[in-house]
Amino acid sequence: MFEALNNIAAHTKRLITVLNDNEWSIDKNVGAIAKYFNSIATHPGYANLHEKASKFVEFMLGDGARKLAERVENSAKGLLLPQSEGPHNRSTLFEEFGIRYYGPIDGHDLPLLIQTFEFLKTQNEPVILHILTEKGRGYKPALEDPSKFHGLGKYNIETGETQATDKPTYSQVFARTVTDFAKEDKKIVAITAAMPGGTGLMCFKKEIPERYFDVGIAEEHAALFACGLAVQGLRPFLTIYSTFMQRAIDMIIHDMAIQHLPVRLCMDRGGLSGDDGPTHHGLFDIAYLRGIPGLVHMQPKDEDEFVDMLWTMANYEKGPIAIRYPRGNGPGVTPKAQPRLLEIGKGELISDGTDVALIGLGDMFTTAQAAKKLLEAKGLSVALINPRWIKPLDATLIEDIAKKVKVVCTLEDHILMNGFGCGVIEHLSTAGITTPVVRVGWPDAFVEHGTPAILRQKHGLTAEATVEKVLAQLAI
Amino acid sequence: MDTTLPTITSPTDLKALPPEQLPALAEKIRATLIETLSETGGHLGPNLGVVELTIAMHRVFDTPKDKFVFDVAHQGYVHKMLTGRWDKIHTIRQYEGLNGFLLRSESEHDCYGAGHARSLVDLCLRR
Repeated sequence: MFEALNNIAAHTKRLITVLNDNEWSIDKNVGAIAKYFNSIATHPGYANLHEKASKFVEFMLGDGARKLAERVENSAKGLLLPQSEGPHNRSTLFEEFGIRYYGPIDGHDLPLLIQTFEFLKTQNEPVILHILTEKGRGYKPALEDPSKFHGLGKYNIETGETQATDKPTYSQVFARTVTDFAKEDKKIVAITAAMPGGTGLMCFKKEIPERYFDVGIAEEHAALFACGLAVQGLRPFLTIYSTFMQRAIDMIIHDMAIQHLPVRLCMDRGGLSGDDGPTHHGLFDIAYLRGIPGLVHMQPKDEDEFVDMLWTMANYEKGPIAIRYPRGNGPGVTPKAQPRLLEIGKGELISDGTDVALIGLGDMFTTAQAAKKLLEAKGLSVALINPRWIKPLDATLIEDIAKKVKVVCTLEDHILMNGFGCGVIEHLSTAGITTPVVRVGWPDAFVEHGTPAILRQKHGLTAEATVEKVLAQLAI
Repeated sequence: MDTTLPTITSPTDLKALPPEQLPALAEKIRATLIETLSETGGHLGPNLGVVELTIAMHRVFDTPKDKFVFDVAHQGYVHKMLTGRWDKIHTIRQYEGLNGFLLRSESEHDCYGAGHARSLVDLCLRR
């Protein structure tokens, strides 16, 4: 961010940056920068204007001096930049970078905004306009709960109520579980990059505020911060959506993995995000993590196994350990009272078979279950595996089953390219096992937005499409 | 709601609107968003916050000649409505409908689609 500002001042002319200051990003803004903007916005001393600001007033005066003067007087926020003064240099961060600062102004005052833009349009230098707005302006339920109304599903217009879900989401299970663990284990800390609502970590924040860290929308920093905490002997749960973890890849390789720092990478929205579309699908994390030496990666088939995995992560100290879990609900399996430690790299053979082996990773396990029924109805003997571990793979289990069957089929909520199925193919090839492997997953393309049901249908991530692929391979 | 407002199908329509009708336009945009998103879901709060800002930007500047970059682009619903997509706003985030973010392939008025936050200033470097 600061490098970019620096570069702008040095190399850019006509750029108007509007700082839309609504005190919120997704949840409430945090940290020194937020306080800094607040100090500008609430500062009473708007009397002294810098040279450019004087020109601004001249420009505005040409268009109704009285009206403007009134507005300046009446507006508690004031119009223009406070001069630097006293021990607190208020000449603003931006001016230090050579970017002219204007504001703050009322971001809901249309004539004022238009006038201001008309002026700024004449400026031949990068400027920043600081406007103050209300997130949810004009809708009472949204003003009362800005976090909920940042982004949401259907709601009742009158009341703002959304439909309650009968099952807890993976995010809720995650946050409840880690918060409970942290109450017993004082070394556990939770880190989010501005997503306390989305990740569910709001409950951690409420119950254990001293070990909860929201670093703002700064995933790289969050990852390094987690490394620092791990060095100190703490147990960081770094909770970042799969799509946003992409930003932290250098820190994961260079800082976490090389130094074997036990950071728990918790990737919510691991899999198709759905209606947000390609910028938010979490379809790449297996691809970008599986090549990192020593890094453990896993995905649970249901909520109970999810809690076991989180418990295993909490107790793992050898290096970075990652988990991906999907958006929304799981199959609805209530976690048992006491979680158990899972053996790293040990999958689960659900049922044996001699024709087809279905290996269904995470949320695709239920699809594999359904495909198994359909294949059995055709008289085939079908083995079903819950692999649990993306890395390390359960080599013995996969080799043994591949030797028994005619076709292996992997299913994953991830791109096929360099995904879980590729790991299986690589392994079998190295082991000299020639059983063909068919793979079900997302294509080598940016998947569009839409409901998961529609998109899975379209791209062949259904039980029916799985059966077709398997049968086609058997027929060869 | 003011029913005498003409339909806005482009920034040109917006610029043709007499200034005294702009508050009614802002009100109509808000009402449309609140009603539409109650069915589709979406980023309601952020867009209700930028109604006047987006109107002012399109009154003063000319996209696609002038480039608007939204950081993040979930604040672009009003921009979409004012740039020829008002009639499709009910399809937002629906399969084969409008994307929830700005999308270069969706309109010439969308010069950049950023779904992850904090990329804006890095993009705008040009003499």
